[in-house]
Amino acid sequence: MHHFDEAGFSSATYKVLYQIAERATTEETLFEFSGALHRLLAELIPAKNLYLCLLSEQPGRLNFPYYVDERDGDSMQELDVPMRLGLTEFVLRTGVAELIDQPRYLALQRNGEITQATGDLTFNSWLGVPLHIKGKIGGVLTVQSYDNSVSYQASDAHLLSFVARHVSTAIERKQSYDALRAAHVELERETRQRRQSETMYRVFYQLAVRAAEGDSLHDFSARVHELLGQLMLAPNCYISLCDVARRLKHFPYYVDERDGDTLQRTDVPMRLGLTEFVIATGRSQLVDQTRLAQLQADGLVTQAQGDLSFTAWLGVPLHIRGTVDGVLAVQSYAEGAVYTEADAEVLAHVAHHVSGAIERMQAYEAMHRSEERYRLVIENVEEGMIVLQGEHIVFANARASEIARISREEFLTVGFLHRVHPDDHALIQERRRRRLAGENVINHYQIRLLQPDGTIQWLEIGVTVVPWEGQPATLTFYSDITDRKLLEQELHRTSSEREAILNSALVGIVFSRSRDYEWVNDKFAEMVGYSRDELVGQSSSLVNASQAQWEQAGAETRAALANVGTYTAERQLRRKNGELFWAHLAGRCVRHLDPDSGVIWTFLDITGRKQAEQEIRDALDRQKELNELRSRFVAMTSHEFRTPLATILSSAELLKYYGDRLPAHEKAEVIQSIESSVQRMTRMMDRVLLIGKVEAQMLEFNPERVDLVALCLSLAEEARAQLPDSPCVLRTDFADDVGSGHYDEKLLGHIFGNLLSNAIKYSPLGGDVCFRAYSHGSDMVFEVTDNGIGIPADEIAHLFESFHRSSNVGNIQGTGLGLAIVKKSVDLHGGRIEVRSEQGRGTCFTVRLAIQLH
Amino acid sequence: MARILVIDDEAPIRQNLARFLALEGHQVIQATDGRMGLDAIRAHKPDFILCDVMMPHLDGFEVLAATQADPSLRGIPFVFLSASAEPEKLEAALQQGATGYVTKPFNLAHLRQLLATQLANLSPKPVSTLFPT
Repeated sequence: MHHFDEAGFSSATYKVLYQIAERATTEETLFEFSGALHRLLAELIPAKNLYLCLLSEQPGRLNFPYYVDERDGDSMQELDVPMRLGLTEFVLRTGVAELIDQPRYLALQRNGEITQATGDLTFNSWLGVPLHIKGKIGGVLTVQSYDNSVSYQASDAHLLSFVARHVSTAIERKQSYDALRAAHVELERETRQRRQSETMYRVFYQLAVRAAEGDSLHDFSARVHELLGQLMLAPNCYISLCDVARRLKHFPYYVDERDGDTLQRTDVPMRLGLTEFVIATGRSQLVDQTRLAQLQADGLVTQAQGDLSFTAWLGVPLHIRGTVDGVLAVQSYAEGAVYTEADAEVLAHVAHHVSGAIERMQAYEAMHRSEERYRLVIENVEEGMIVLQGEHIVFANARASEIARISREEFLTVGFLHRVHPDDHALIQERRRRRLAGENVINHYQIRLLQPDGTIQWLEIGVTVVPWEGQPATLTFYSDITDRKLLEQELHRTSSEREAILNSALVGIVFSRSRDYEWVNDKFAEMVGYSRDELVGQSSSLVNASQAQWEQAGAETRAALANVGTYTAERQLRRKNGELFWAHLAGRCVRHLDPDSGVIWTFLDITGRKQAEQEIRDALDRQKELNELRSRFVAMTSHEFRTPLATILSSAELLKYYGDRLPAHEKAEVIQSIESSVQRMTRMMDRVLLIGKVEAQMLEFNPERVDLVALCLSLAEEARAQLPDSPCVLRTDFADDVGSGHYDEKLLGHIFGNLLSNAIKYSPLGGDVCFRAYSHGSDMVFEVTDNGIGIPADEIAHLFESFHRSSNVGNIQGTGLGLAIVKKSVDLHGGRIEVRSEQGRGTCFTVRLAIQLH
Repeated sequence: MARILVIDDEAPIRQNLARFLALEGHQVIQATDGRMGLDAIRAHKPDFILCDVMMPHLDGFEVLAATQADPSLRGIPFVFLSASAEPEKLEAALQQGATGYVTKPFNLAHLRQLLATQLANLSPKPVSTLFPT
């Protein structure tokens, strides 16, 4: 139960109203006050949903400083919305408290009073009261309920109107406070400007100090940003450096309340943005939203990135090394923020310091990097490096200490020379003196160090004169070659043993360079018949068979060595005594595929093998020849048998079938031809058998007393008779001293029978065939001479071989056995046979047999 | 009766052939080597040629080649009498135009038959006989 006074309010209500009034006078913001009001009001009436609406300074617009609604949330708590035909505007128009339920809302809608209401319009009861501010209706305080059990009453409207008076008071108070505050801000601004020049100097000093401290660019930029804040509104700041040539920019510093530092990156392509606009114009640019719109419209800035809703943007160029290489920019999103020309000047001033700092920093970084690189190289080379100036070592790298076992301190204080072997002191000093005097001194040589422990250390050093801090100095590189030296010594020590081994080798070994002998072993010297001294230093052409062969072999050898690395060949070489011999040689470069590095050769005398090869080849040739001769023999004997057989058969048939019709003398001739044919076949048979014996070395020698003249005459007669059609004239001429002696008559028959029949047979055009015999010294000499076809000179060597027939015999029949039998028969008598012949002119065989009287 | 040329350097054979052919009623011309044989062919244009192979001066094949080269002589039946029984020789002979190849020793009866056949035929067919085979 409430107690009401004349205004109809209970005391409890008054208590709450009093509290509201009290809050209205505190220095709270309107929002804070509205929050308190909402809470307190809810103690009096259902006020789940409450909003406060004020007329904007701009006509026709509204603000909603407070808007809490269970359905709409606080989404409508916005500033500066245009007025329309809504519920609030209805109250503003009527100027009285309006109580609206759904039927009334629909009615107002229908008669066009409220047609543009927004928000959730399914309220059950809506209550709005006007706010009177400075004597005019300046706003509306509204409660509403979606709860069907809650319907506002006239009493509620009355109460809310009362509360509205307090709200009006609070708003009036607030507005006058804001005016006062604005005046205060203006005052402060003036004060700030007065202080600014002082601050500026302080800040610039700090910037200069900071720039010299060698911070990273980012740290430095952060400091600049911080200091900038003392000079101007600079919540957001970035530095952009551009590589105009590569059309890239990077942001070593980028701090922005909206963009964060996500844009702090490198290699961003340049485009039509604000940064590029400053670079393009080369001067400061002040940009607000209006100007931005203008620049966009003009197509000057169409690709700007980041949050573009700033209120004010200021960018100044950074002149680094005389060109516009970057931009320093600040911006603010704060309402009412403005940059002025004065700010631009200040920022340009700061930019000047930043540019200077960046230049210094870049130079320092470059130097630092190059120094770093240089130091890295020097300290990591394999060689020790020392610089000697005057009598002092002014530089030594770590490796120098490591190799020479001298600490860096020792180098710089005591030096290096004390560690050099005493025997090498003078040499080093002398060379150094002459080198500094500008003389041309050997630059690479070897020296020894004598270490404190008594060991000797070998160094290979290279020295050059260099300027060191403007003065001449010697730069010495060195490396430790002790191990190599020891190896060399060891090698030298064992070289005599090695030479002994190489000399006892069974193959010739040669080391040559450019085809000159530099070293040869004993075996090679022995092989070619020269002494080692005669060979060393000589060209290898010395032992080659011919100059032409040597030159041709040279090209071939070099190609093989350069392409394959090794070369082997069989080649004829010439000994000192002129004798040729076959050698197998194999060469290998000292350095792979590099014949100029020298070639190691081994030589093997293969004369024996070559001879054996030749013998085998000869034997093969002989065998081939023999086979050919044998087949020719078969053809020949076939012919030699078939011919007399043809005579015999035809004779026999003539006698058989035509015998009665043949005259007697013809019959006798036919019978005679049978006899001669049989004899011819018998002779042929004898010969074949004989040559069989000859070949089998079974020919017998049975000397007995022989009347030479009588035998020779009968042989001559027989030969003539064998070839009755020959046009030859056979003459015999036997000296008086040709008597009788001990010979094998059969063999003599073979000898002269064959020689004579050959003479006749191979003289198809006739001429004289002369058979002579005479004694000469201890020999009985027999000669058979003809004017026949002769024997080709190159075939005389094979004349006495079985089955051999000269190439010029044509169709003259023969077995190739006669002269083989002749030769064998002469041999059995211990005699000799010679032949002189000229092709086309004739032949003379001379047989010499020892006179055997007994 | 026909005119038959016998070319052979082996006198006993040539003479026996001449006797046989005369007894058979033919006219016989003899030549003792190839060159003389070729001369005789050209001079006498015989009806039939019996020719040895291995002879001095010109061998039988050379005589045959010369004969074949002359259109007026090409048609004369040309039969070899050869001491070589190699089949290659026989083949070569027939290929080069010989109408027969008879190996020595030959059979007279066989020879007579061969003559009869080849003389009766204007375009004689090649006949070969290897005897003994």
